[in-house]
Amino acid sequence: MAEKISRRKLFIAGNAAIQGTLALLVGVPLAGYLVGAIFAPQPNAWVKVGPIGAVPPNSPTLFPIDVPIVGSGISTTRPVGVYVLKTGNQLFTFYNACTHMGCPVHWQDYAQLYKCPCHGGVYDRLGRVVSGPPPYALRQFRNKMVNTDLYVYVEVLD
Amino acid sequence: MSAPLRPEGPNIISRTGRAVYDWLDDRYPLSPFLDRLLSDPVPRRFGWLYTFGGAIVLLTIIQVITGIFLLFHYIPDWDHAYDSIQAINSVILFGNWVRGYHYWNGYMLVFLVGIHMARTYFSSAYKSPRELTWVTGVFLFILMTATAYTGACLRMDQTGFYTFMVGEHIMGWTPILGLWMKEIWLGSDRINPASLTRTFALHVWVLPAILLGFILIHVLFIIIQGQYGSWLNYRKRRGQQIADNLSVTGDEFSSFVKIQEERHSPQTRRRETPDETDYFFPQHSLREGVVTLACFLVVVLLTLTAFPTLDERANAATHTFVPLPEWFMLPADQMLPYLPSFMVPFLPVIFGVFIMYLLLLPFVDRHKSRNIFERPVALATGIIIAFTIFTLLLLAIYRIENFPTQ
Repeated sequence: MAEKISRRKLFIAGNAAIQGTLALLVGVPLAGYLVGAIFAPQPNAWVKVGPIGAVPPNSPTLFPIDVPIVGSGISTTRPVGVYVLKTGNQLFTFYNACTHMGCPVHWQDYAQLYKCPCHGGVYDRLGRVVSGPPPYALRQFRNKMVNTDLYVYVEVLD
Repeated sequence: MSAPLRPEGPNIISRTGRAVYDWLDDRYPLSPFLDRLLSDPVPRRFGWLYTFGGAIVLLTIIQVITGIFLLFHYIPDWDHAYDSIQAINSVILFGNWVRGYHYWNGYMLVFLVGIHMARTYFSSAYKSPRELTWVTGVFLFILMTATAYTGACLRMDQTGFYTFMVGEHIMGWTPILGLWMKEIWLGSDRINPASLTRTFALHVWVLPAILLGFILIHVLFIIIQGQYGSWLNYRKRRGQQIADNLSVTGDEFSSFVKIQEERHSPQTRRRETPDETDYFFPQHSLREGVVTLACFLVVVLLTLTAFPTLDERANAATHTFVPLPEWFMLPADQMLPYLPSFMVPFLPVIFGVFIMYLLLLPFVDRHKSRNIFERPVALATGIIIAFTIFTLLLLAIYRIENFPTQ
């Protein structure tokens, strides 16, 4: 060693090393503990909506569903709304959350529009943005019929 | 008579108290600290304008205490939070009082922080050498708002749930880091049971702990530098000030000179002294006490007349519910309808720019005068910001009241 390290400098370095080690030993697990949750996947599942025989054609009707959800390793459900729309021989299932800020859109029969009560988002009957700030159309769930019951496949939620 | 002097220490206490004080003071020198804290000369003229900070400190203490007591009955759980608040409202003895206090006092605090900020802005107390007091104050404004906001998320009723929903969406739309921040907050990409627990942790520990730390620093800065007041407290010239003091008796005058020398010594020369001063204790603290009591009486009155009942349980399967944001979020909320879809990510950017403006204000505003009426730019900016906030607030109320529900 060419340079001589003074006793004082060595002590300061020792202090820094000890505090740094402590910070690392505690900090790394803490950071992981906080961030780790976001890598835990949420369940994607077929969720039963129920019989839709009574849904009038061309009029979106809201159905409540209980979507499985996991938080801190505990599984439970969250109530979510699905608009079921029958047009001709087609069946649409819209997620009722506005794509702007997640508020519950209201289907308004007299206007034939979905209106968001939060920030003025407006969608037409097929969920396309008519006006307001929403960045894209209402999201749709994939759906299937099992006997007389409608099921939707829930992948993305707000 | 200005700068009156205290004959000797805190002699307002009893003989026994005095003995205890002396015993302690002998071991742990309290006098320098207490003298600075209690006998600090504060502006006398317009003294009522300078009481909001003190009121905020006292009401924050009440807020922390009522919050701790709510913890004894509130259950931060996805399935039980709503029911536990329902129980606090109706079954628990004095539950409605404690929750009513916590609810309305929280709103009172947010309101007072706004008033306090406006007062500081218009009296230009943020100028050198008090830049960092203002900067810590801006952080306190953010922390107070964030604490109040996260509190609303814990109710798990419809209003609270959609307050939560819109808040996490705004955070998610933030450019670059938004999704990360949102997912770290929620513990997932969507609101889930862990989101409630995490927001609870933020509301009861993380934010209040940082908030109290910042309050400590903020108040410490004020104690060290002395209260400024506003330019209204510095109308007299120095000669006039000394002439005033020539009329006092010899003893008082010599101590006055001593104090003046101390004040204008190199260590403390950046400390201005207002024309007329009061002691912090008991004169100014009485004013602060009166304002605090008045504010808290409003809280009590609101608790009695406008008790915060809960909405229906949080349920996204609704086609009739109209979400109502927290009132202090309404001006921000009202900007959203005006931002077209491609501008959606810009709301957090607008917040950021506003906060940056506030943080940099004391460093940007280098005008020598402290009189707001001599600084048209500062005056105009202040009025425009206040006017914008109020207009947005009124527009938001109008919009929400008039949403056509079926």
